[in-house]
Amino acid sequence: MSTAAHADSHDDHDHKPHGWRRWVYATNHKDIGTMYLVFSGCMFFVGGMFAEGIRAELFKPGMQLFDPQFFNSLTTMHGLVMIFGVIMPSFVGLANWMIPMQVGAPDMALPRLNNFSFWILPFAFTLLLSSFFVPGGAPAGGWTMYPPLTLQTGASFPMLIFSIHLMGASSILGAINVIVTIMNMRAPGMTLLKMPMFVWSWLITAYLLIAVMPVLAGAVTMQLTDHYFGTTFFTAAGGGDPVMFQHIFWFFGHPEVYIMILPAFGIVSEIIPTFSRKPLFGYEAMVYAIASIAFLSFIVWAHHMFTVGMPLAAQLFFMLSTMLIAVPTGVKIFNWAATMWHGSLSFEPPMLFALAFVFLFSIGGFSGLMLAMVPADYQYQDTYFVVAHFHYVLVTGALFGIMAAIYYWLPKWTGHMYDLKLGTWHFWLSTIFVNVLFFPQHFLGLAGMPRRIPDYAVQFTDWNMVSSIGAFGFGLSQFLFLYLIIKCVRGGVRADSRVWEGAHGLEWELTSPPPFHSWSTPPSAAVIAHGAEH
Amino acid sequence: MPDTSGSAAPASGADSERRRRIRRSALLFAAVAAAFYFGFIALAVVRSLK
Repeated sequence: MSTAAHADSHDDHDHKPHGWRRWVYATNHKDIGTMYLVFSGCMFFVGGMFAEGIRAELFKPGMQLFDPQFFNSLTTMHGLVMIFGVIMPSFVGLANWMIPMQVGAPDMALPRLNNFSFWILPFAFTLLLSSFFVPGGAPAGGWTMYPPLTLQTGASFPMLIFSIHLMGASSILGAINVIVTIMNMRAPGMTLLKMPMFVWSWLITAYLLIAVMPVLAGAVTMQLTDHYFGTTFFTAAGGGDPVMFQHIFWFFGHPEVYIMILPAFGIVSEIIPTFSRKPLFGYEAMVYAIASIAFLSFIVWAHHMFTVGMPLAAQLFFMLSTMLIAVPTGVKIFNWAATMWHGSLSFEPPMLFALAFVFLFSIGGFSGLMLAMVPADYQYQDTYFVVAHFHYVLVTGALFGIMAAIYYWLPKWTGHMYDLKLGTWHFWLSTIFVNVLFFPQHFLGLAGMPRRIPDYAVQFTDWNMVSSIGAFGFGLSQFLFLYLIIKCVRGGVRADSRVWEGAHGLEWELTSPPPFHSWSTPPSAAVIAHGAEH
Repeated sequence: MPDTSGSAAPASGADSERRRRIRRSALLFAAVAAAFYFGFIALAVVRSLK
């Protein structure tokens, strides 16, 4: 263990700024990671509140609570907040906390840029959320911002566009920081194929971010010029093409889906070996599978828009390339299963969430395969089946991955062990209610209920009621999670440096909580070899 | 502004080379991102001229 690992508790406080300056001027990767996680936690409750509003309105047919315009604003803002304000910043927070510790670096390569990319976010979301209070209300054209509908947005339109630019800038700066940290700050001896899977998944995610976030920014810039400067990129009346926006948007949008899931793959690949007390099965295959998924994500975008009309050859290409993604994804699922095979399994909350991830994300994957088939997609397009599909991917996939990561590393961050019983309760309540919430939406979609409507035909009532009850239960369960985290941060049983018996990796060589400046002396080759037992 | 970057030690030759590498690659990736941004706008302009 290096001298950093032996650092006594005084080092936790040495050279650490105090008060508001510690956070506003933060350049320490742990502080910035904490700020990202707290920010995304706040946004989770904001976006969750929008979701509860949507499900309350849909509890029964007819208009109950909101007018249709406001309902559309809720669906739009729910999507934007959850994607850009919750899932992405959570993963960036986890990256900030864990990557330097896992690669044996003292900090991120560009600490001040790190501070800047975080502090952009509160401004972006203040701008976006304040659009509820301007004439015409918040954007209501869907998070996909398709023209010409979105071009009809009122005074909130420039707020939407500017906040998207800010979020994009924050993500790109964060991604640059992640790549240069991993490529330049690894401890001597930490070769690429010794890196933990979480670091690998983030390295590939960061490349995706740099390639596609500017594309989204370009698309919304063109919308801005269409709206205010007389261009007609996407306006049919002026010779423009609204479908071109969809192509550009989904060239960003599909890799974006993988940006939101690849880090979760990395997290699950860390947790399953720990609680199976076995090395990860097929480490290199897992790395290549993530890279293959990332590559394929660039050539499947049009499966989101089969029904706009495209040549048969294009339909076939996008159908088959989409189905091809099942191959590397299958490699990952089977490798996780093989890791558990004959393992000495235990089921603490991180493992429970990781297992739920494997099962439930697979459901989302299978419904994705159904949607990939062109003739079937013509039936499913814009129905609740699609809503069920992407919520299985993003809630029981990405969000459960984040929850698993928090349960896995929280004792390391705080130095306190949390209440395992409470965590298990949170797991079961979340898992039961999330399925009550989203599984019936498959039936609704197959029966023909369209998405993004505030009212529906009476034959859809029963499953909508069930789904809404699931939403209320899932939402309430998250207060248990919040309580558990606050309780753990405030105190509890001291956590060892190696919190989990089967854990490997450099982060477990550091004290819990780790010193403010970890790995100021790089870890020795022996420590790296011990940590890198995949 | 307090320096909490953990990089206060004087830079050795290897360190300054690493700093250069970090700066260079950060600028390269920023240029790639800018190229995607302007490239897609340029593609849309070219397409609208056809």
